[in-house]
Amino acid sequence: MKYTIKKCITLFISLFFASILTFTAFHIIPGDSALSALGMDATEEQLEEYREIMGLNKSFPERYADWLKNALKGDFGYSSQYQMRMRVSTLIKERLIVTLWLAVLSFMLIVLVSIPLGILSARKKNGILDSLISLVTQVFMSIPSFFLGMLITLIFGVILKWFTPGGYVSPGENFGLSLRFMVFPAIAVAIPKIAMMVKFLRSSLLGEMELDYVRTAKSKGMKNISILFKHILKNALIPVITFLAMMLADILAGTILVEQVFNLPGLGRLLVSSIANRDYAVVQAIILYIVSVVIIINFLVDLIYQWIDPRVRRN
Amino acid sequence: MKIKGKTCSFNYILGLVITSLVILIVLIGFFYTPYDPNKMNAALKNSPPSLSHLLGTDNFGRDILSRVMKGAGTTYIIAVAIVFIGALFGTIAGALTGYFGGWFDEVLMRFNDVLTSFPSILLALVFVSVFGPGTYNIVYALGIIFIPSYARMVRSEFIVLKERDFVKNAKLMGAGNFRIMFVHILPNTKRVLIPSLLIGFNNAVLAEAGLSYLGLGVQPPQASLGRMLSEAQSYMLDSPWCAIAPGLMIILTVLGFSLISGGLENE
Amino acid sequence: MSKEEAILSIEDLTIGFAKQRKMKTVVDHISFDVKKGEILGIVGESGSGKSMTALSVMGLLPASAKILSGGIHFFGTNLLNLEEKELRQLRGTGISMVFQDSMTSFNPLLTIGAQVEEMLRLHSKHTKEEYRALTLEALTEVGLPNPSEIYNRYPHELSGGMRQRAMIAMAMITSPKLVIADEPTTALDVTTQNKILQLLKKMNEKHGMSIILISHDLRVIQSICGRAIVMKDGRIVESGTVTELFAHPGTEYTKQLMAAVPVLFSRSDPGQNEASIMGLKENANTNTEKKDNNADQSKRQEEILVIRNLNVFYPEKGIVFGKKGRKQVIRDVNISLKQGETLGIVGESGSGKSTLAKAIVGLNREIEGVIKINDVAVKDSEISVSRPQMVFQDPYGSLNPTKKIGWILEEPLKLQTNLGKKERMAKVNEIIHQVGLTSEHLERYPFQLSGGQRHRVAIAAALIVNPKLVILDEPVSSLDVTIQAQILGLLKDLQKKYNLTYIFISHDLNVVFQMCNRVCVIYKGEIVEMKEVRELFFSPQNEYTKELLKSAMATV
Repeated sequence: MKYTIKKCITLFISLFFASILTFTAFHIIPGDSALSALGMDATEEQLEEYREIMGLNKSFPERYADWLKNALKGDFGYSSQYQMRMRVSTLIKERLIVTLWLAVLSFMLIVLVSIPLGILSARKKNGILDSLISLVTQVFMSIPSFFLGMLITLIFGVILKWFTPGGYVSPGENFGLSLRFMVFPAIAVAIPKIAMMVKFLRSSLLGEMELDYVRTAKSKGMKNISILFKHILKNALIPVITFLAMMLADILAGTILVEQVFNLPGLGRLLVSSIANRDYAVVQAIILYIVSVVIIINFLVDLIYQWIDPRVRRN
Repeated sequence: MKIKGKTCSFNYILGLVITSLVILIVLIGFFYTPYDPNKMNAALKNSPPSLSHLLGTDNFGRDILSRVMKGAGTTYIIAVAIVFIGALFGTIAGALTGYFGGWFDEVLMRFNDVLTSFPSILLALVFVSVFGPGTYNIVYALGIIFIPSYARMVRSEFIVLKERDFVKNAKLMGAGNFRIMFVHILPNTKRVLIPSLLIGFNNAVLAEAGLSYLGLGVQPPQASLGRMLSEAQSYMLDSPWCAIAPGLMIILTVLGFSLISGGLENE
Repeated sequence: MSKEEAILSIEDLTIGFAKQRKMKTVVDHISFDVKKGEILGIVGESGSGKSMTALSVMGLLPASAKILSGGIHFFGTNLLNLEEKELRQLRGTGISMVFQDSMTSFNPLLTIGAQVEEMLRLHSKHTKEEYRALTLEALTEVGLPNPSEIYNRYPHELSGGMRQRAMIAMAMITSPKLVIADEPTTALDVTTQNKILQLLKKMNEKHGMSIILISHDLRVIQSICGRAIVMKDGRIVESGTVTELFAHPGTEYTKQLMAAVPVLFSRSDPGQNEASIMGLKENANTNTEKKDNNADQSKRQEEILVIRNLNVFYPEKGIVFGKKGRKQVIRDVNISLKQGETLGIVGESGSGKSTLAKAIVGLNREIEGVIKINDVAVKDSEISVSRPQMVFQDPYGSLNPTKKIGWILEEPLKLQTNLGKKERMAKVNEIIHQVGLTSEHLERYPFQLSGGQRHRVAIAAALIVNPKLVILDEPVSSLDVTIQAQILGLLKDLQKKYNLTYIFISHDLNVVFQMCNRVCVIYKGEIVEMKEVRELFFSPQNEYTKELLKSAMATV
């Protein structure tokens, strides 16, 4: 119980800090945002009006409190980069599903591919297969995900015509088609992460194999394979779970770049264009969303830990 | 294979070879490139690799080889600067908080935890959106962003090391705190610090490439591998060499150090 | 001894490790038998090859080890010729093993019950209920209370003693003919040790299985083994029945091992008390000599250390932020020490002896009461030349691995004196020779020295600033018997030469008897008895002291 409470406290403190950080970052911008929003031709009254509406005349803590209050309700204000007055929250909702879909697909790919590969390379330690896997993973970790995306587009999209570059289909419309398309950007995001996971899993497994309880299992007359699956794997996966949670942040970062390459209408592309257009309301909102997701998921993983590792349970 | 009595793996040797090659190209690029990397030549737009232009030309007719050489140099310098800032301040912060502990340490650790939830690209984007794009800005941005991970690593080393008997012994002999931290304890962190510098370099290279690709990093006309990739994207089908050359350069740069640090790990 | 009686027969076994193209032999042409129903002891220090021998019988040698010669015959079959599959069948049903560290030998994520039951599931077929019933039966037989509760517990939730019992249950549940126990009691405290050994004996008597008991501790071997073999550097040095071995040790090495274990006097003849204490006999004489010297000089020597009403505390951590509380660890200690004396502090782990040492030296400042060295209060003074120095337990930990020995020795001089480089190096050279090493060692790093050499460096580093008082915290416990003697000798020489005052912290009573004039016994942070050494050993007054002495010594 104490563990759970401590983690909850940490959760709220982290979310709080994150929101302060995000807010502060965008409100220390030098320059007059009224001027940049309305342009040089605006009159003084128009500028004042703008400032009033946007609440720019209030003090810093007040502005933060306002923003936070609204944010918790889901209201992030209005975007400044579109002709029509679009609510930031609307913009985000449309894009969110794309990015989420991409992230989930990538995550599944990572788990499905890296676990068998990791086990394989640990079992065949120092063999030719292991060295090969090692070299290949090193290479893949060195490829920037956007370049990988470009290559994938070239080879599978243009040359082999397995998908239409730029042809995003939402999963709601046509799940099968959507999957066929999305699997490629997911691969681009997943491959460097798979490489990292395989390396990590391999060393976690090898580390466990050295431990005493493996020797005990052998002394009982267990087969090596049984020892691997009944004893070692469980222990080795524990640090892997933390690693996966950490990777979540990386996956989300990866989606930002990959969306650019594949022209996906997701949060990442929105973020980049908002930065270029100085649409700070949108940028703030997106960043807060992403960070909150990461913090919350990490919190959930911490809770799951209790359930998985009996040593953590009672303290 | 043995070098200086230590057994080296094939990967390690490969890493050394690749890195030396890359560094060689970078060094030469500082002093000499076959063409002026910024010189445009409309007549030769998008021409494939030939004897006069070994890697072809891009959509402005600029020689790709020269641009790649200069771009690699830029990338290297930026990455080194980023790692320097991150490692220097991170180590100092980590040493101080790890050694002294106390409430200050607690607060800093919470702060650190929050920062790790921000994917580093995201933080860099925040920075860039506030202060604007540009080479110096991304060096500062990424440098500062790298500080927490070095701080965390050095801090956990210090927390363990400060309980060791040789530290207690040093106290008994009259060594002051700062002497203990930097003369006695710090050299013992070599084992984790050095590989992390290599990894940090790689992360910096990839991060800079990403930012430049998005247009938020190194600004034209300065050559940058990431930027070259974004420019080449539209021409991928017709003139793939525009993208492959800079992409390959990034891969080799990162792979070289990756193989070396992998080789060091296996010692 | 007929061959039919032997269930295990090891013949000319040699095991080696390939290390950088050279083959290092760790077991060298050994031969011995294990008879049906007997408990055979294998005695040896670290590096003697005893564990490797055990692992080779089970077929559990690490991949880098090679069997270079010989055979291991179990009921006539040479185990070395068996396929892995056949060996697997043998493990558990023919031969089982009990390991030293019960915490790490169990899988932390599975329950005790599951792991003990696993042994059963691997070698027999039953229904689910039968498996559970048999497991509970095994757990009961090894003396575990509430077996059904223990069944559901995880390894880290049990005490060391309970875990070790569970491991024995696991090893025995499939009724093996031979059980190999590798240092099964080393990680346990003295009282639990005896209980586990008695359990093994009970199992042997009840089920008739043979046991190979491996230990570095002669007391353990003596308690339940019928026969024993002594191993050193991969060879069998001596073998025979335990009574023979103890009464008339044949080789020099065996004698040395015996000397390390004091024996409690027989109750029948009180007059025999002093004379019948083995190993303490010869040392007793030198000690008397030394004490006579000291008795004369004590009147001329000043009091160097005065401790009065000392209470020492440990800060405690709060839940979220480091809120501080205090825990009292040392209570009302009074000690006075004269120059040239050696005071011994004995106690079990957790009694507070290290805390006391740290307080005296100034590493722990949460104290109440008076500690004065040379009449200067420790609390007030800064670390300075007259400060006491300390020699820590593990020299590998107390020497900075990234610095050369020369640097390590020079550092205290740099910090505490105003000597120039030349003079410092001269002193460093002087001291390194005094501890029996050479200038060449100054250029090396700690990992390049042996255990004994590192101890010498640690002593040199403590003494180079000529402290008046030196505190030695378990300075020889991690050393082999032969090296121990050398280091203790060195300490005595240096003490004589420089008129040093020592405080010796140790749990090893033999060492304490050899080195100290006075001894104080600490229990739960308080001094329960403090006397002149022979008085304490031969006529202890306090109950706890009596307990401590009794459990630490073997019985005749």
